[in-house]
Amino acid sequence: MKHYFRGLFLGITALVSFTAWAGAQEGTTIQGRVTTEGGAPLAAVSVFVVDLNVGSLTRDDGTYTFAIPAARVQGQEVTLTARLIGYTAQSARVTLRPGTITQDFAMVANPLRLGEVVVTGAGTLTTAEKLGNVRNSVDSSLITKSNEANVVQALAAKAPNVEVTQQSGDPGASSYIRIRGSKTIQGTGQPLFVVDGTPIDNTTFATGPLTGSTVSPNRAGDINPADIESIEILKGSAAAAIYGARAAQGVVLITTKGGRVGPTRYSLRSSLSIDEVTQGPPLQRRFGQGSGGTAAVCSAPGCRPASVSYGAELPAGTPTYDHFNEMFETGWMLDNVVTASGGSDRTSFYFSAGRLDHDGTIVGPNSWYDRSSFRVKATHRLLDRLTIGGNVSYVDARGSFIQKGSNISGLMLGALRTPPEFDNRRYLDSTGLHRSYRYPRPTALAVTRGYDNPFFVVNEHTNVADAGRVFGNVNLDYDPTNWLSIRYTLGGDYTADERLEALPPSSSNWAPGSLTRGDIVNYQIDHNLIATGRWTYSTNLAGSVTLGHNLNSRRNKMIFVTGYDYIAPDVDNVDNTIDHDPFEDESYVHNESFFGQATFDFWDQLFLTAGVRNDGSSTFGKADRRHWFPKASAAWNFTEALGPEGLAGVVTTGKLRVAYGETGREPFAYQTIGGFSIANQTEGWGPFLSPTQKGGLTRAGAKSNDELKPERTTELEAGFDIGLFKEKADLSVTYYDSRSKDVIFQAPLPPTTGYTSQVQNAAIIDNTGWEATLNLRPFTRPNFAMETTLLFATNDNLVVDLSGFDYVDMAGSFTDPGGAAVKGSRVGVLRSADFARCRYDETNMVDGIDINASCRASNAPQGALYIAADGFPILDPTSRVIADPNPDWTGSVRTAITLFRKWQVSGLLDIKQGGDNWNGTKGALYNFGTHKDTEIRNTNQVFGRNGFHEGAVAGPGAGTAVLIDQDWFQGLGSGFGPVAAQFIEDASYVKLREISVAYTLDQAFLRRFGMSSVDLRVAGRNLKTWTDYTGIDPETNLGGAEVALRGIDYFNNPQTRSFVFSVGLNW
Amino acid sequence: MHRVSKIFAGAIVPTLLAAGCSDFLSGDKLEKNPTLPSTATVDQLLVGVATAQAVEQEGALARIATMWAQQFAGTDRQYIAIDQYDVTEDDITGEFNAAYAGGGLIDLREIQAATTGPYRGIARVWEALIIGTHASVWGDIPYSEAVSDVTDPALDDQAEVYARVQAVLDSAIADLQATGDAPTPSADLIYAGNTTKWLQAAHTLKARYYLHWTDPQVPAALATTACGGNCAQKALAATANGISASANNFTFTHDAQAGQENVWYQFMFVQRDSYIRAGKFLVDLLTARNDPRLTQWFEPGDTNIVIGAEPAEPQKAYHAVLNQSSRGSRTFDQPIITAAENTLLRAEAQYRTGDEAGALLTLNAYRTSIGMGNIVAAGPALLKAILEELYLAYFQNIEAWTVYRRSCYPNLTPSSGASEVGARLLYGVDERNANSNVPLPSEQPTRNDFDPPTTNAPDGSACIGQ
Repeated sequence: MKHYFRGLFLGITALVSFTAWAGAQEGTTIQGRVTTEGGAPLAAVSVFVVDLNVGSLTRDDGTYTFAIPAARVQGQEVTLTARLIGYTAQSARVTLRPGTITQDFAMVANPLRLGEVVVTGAGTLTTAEKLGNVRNSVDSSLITKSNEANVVQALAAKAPNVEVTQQSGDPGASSYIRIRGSKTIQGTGQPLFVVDGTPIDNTTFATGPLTGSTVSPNRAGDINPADIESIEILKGSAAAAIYGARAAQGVVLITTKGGRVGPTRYSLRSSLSIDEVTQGPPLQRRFGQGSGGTAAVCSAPGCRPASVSYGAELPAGTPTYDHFNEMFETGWMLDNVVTASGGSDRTSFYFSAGRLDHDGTIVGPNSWYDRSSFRVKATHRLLDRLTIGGNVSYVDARGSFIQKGSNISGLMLGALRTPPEFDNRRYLDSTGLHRSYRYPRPTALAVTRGYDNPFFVVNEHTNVADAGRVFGNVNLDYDPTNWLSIRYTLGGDYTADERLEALPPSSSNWAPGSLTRGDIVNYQIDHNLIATGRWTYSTNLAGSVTLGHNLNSRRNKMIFVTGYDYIAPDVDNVDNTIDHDPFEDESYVHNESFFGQATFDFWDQLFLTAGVRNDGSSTFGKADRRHWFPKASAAWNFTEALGPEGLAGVVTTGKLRVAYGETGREPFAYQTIGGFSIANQTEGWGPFLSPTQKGGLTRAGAKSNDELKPERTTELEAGFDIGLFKEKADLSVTYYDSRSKDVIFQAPLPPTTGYTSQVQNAAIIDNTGWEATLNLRPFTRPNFAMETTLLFATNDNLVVDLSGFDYVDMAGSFTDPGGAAVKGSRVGVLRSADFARCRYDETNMVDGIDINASCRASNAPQGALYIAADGFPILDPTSRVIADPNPDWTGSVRTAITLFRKWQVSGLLDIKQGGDNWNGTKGALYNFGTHKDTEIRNTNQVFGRNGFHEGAVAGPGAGTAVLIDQDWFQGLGSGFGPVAAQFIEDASYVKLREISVAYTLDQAFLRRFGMSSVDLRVAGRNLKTWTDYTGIDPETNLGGAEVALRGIDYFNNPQTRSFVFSVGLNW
Repeated sequence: MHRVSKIFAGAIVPTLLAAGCSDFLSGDKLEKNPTLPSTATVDQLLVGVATAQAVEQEGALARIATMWAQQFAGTDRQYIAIDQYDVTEDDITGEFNAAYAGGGLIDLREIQAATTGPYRGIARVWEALIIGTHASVWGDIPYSEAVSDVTDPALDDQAEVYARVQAVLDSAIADLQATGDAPTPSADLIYAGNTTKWLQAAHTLKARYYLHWTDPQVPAALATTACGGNCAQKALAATANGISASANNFTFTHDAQAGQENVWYQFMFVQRDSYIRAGKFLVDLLTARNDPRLTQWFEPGDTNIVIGAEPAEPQKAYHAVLNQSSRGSRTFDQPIITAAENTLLRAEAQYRTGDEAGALLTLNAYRTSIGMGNIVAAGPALLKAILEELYLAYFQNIEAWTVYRRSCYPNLTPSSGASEVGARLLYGVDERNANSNVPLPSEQPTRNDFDPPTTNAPDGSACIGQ
């Protein structure tokens, strides 16, 4: 195999050299003008001789011109094609001869975009009509309208089964994206991101623990959304097989903006967002700090009063505080982008500079994210058959974040647990010592505050991530003959990310003060060489063959040092601490791949594609270092078969498609190797001891496995795309059925074997679903046009097999509830204990009581809450699935209305039906007595009635009124008790993601200033969420894109909404 | 133009050749983890074991055991539920695992296989401590098939595990007296390689595990299996060679460096400041005895006197915490097997073998050593007095709970709402999930074989909590 390819490459090289001598003498110049049917000039139309791979874009006046060198002019007849998004492609046959040929085109509008060129990955292209799988593309206008600084978040509600969750409203917070359900247990389930043909890094790395620390940016957020021309989402294995072992979760192909022929254009766009925080959890303001109805007394210096608000009812007139809203103010984001672009018939360029300043809604100076970016993209036709190009982005992204989550130095944890009458705002006492409600009269610096005062959190902690990044590629397009084109791309991506988390003395996490300083350096080099040969046998039979070779090298290195015990109290430097705990990690991965693809076009209506990729990876077990990933698809464009009137005048165009493909997911680096651990010995409650400080090692919990293979997903996708009522509407429906086998997880071993796990190819996960897109264009007149897009998707995820295990824990989980993949259930469900309930499908003995017998006696339904004789429910200690964060279905409604050519009004509703969140915040606040629900304390309640654990009950104590007091809220009814199931809530929502009104000013007077147009826009982002969820916005997750586990709400920082004003000036 | 194309040819050819020739997928940094050691010396493993087991013996198990023995009270959040005996299989899964996985049996077996003589003996004493503790907490546990090629290790009966532990201690004693390998002194964090001290610890452990089977309700056949018959007599013999002086105590040493701090200190003063407080029962007992250890062990809350919390009582500012200048210090060296224990086990064994006079002498000698006066007692009152000292000597030690379980001393009133004091922990969920031999929580016993419900406390009163 290798020798064969080497031979091919040498041949290519020889061709490059040979053709250099074949200089052009006199060629053909093709020119003309492209207009609409009405005669208006059309700019940026691509006019191309596909057979020769030469062409040009039209200028503003619709004219184009390009030359074909004499060497390639042999009097042959070729097809000249004009393409523009939104128009039916037009073709003309021209005979090439020396001299000038003039060919004009009048384009017919066609919203179906069937002729559009589609990037299908690894350097391959096709047109929409030939595509054998469903197409999901997002163009630049949709990205702009989203008002999101992070390109991943901008994809929310843009395509069916592309689920996006923003971690929180913190500036720079990561966004999680999941396409067609989870296919993996071990990874984060994020798709591969590819920019202009080169894979880029989209990892998210948290400086501290996954359930605490701060939000972290996902690296795709480094891309300036304004630089994006379009995004193609390759959802399933059928579409993404060309990327082999890196594509099981899909691929996001981003094409950036380039220059085009014509005068140099300039633009300046400024937008200002005004942000405010959305909903918070309800808090009580009636009862004060204390316990057992007795107010806490804390008068002696250094006293430590009760931590809970079960004290006396506060006397009338006692000042109380809104501990949620006092932590927030109005935030703002200013986004400025300048661009310059242009080109000649040989050269094009695009330059942009962007600056984003985002000041978050959390009070204090430390919640912000700034991004400066520069991008250049250029091409130059060096020789008639040789074009070089390149693009490079430099990004400087800096953020400052706030401690969150399960973290006694976290913002919401300290704020929401504070008794209502305690004034947090004065967070330093008169001597400058940090005071908190649990240590209100501080006498010492380096002792715990119980919980940090939230104003101390926002003002005194330092949590920063400063990243510098360069990514881009150089590429070479070479057409040695009329039928062969070769493209070579050499890309790189380098990020250096500097972290600092400094929690100075008196921070409760580590009272003497601790700081973590870290450097993360990531690089990736990608080489991709493909050769495509095209042939046309006759008008009824044509095709192409592509062969490719890919080398990819990735390195990740991180060095962290945590310093404990500050010497000087205010210097954030590791040298200023007494104890140091270093951490270093480094990994290298190499991939080497060959791939090939063949296409056949029959009668210009049946399109077949078959391909295969062979991937080798250093992460595969030594037993088998190479694996094959095939694909095949067919598309039948049956428009012609429908005849000129269509099917009953309803279906006017149509395509049937079916596709099959296989993709994989690599193991992590070094998972095949065992060894010894240098980790601290810990217990679940925080204390730890270090063996390495005394020279100790312990056997790593993971047993080695050198037969590890990539995870393999096979997918069959079928569907149709039809145009209805002469393109007044179009509908796309897709069904897919995928099975992921050899799914890797740390298979739990009985710890009594000496190992806790072994990484194994041991799980099978199915994902099946339906996706539908309906576009309606009831009005298409220039003065009044309306387009509505309805998206609908279901994904049914099922863990079919775990090789005999009941469940597998997932990263980012709490101990209780634990997040897991559970056999017979879905990936990412939550497990914990529940109350004893009627469960007729189980033996159901709890504490020696036959619960079901009692249930049967009262004909109680399945799931009825068992009430013991004392009137209270009891604990069923068996851990079981208590929540499923995966939605039942998702959908969206987008409407855009154009009025009088210049006004545009648009809106986007995002719908998530089903999917649970664990409202751990509520559970904890029950314990602390600050939640609004705890106002019922010291009243008699009946389980199952009046909204108190509403639902059917059974058992000897059913209907008995019992005193609900502090003991209940701190016992079995507490979030810290064993029954997490009572804090699971439906997190369905309908969200007004976007709404905007835009006006384009293009009156003649602008020309006096040299301007062509001015765009004005007023918009809203996340203005309203309709939900039954009782916590913060249900679109939340404690871990961001660094974990696959969803639905965790434990003192998360809340979400925001924005009002946006934007001005775009175009010259 | 020629030049330009040659430059491109020159750029492409090396790249392609590199791809075709070298093996791009192998190499040192690709096939060897740059950050994970692939080998470890026996000394490194011995340090690892001592560190992991310090977390095990001083950590959550010790806190749960001593809360249930009412030396401490759970006063906040999850610890309130735990102090009401609501411990799920998730809560203690790490503690269950620690006996077997890295830092436990797997590393000890590697040391035992690679060493001879005293070194192997030390590793065997460790094994006995780990497995004996485990069997006392969980009852029937995997042992004979643990850390072997068996993928689903079977549960061995508790009494059989004890019999094996005694055999391991016998081998350890032989090894420690033989010639052979010795650890580098700095790698032995307990005794710096002192075989005399290890021998004494082995004997005290033998006595401890024999006396675990003296609950009057234990069937004779089980006791015979566990001790080979005559538990008390064998315990008495073992104490003769047990830890002779507190300088020879088996302790986990700590210092002020992060990563070496006492686990109780970390829990109570760093990580979970409100979760546990002094237990009312213990405070009242020490107060009634006028025992000087009351203020050595505890410091008052926001009052001037040491006040303990009732079981599961929400934390109040006046509840006492560990004294930060002694037991609550970050540098406090935690005793696990002590001379005091050996002396009191001897007194108990003397009593149980009918030598009440000897038992009283041993007890009074001990009381004198801790600054308490002599007592006069006989019969059940003497046993109660011995067990009281043992219960106190086991302050912060998992064994305090075992004393209660096997004797019903102290005669504790269960945490409110419960009829029995917690007598056993559920198997860890990790083991239950992966090992088909482990039953569901609902099918697990609530008591272990060595701890049938005790009818009467040592003083003859009805046992309240069993």
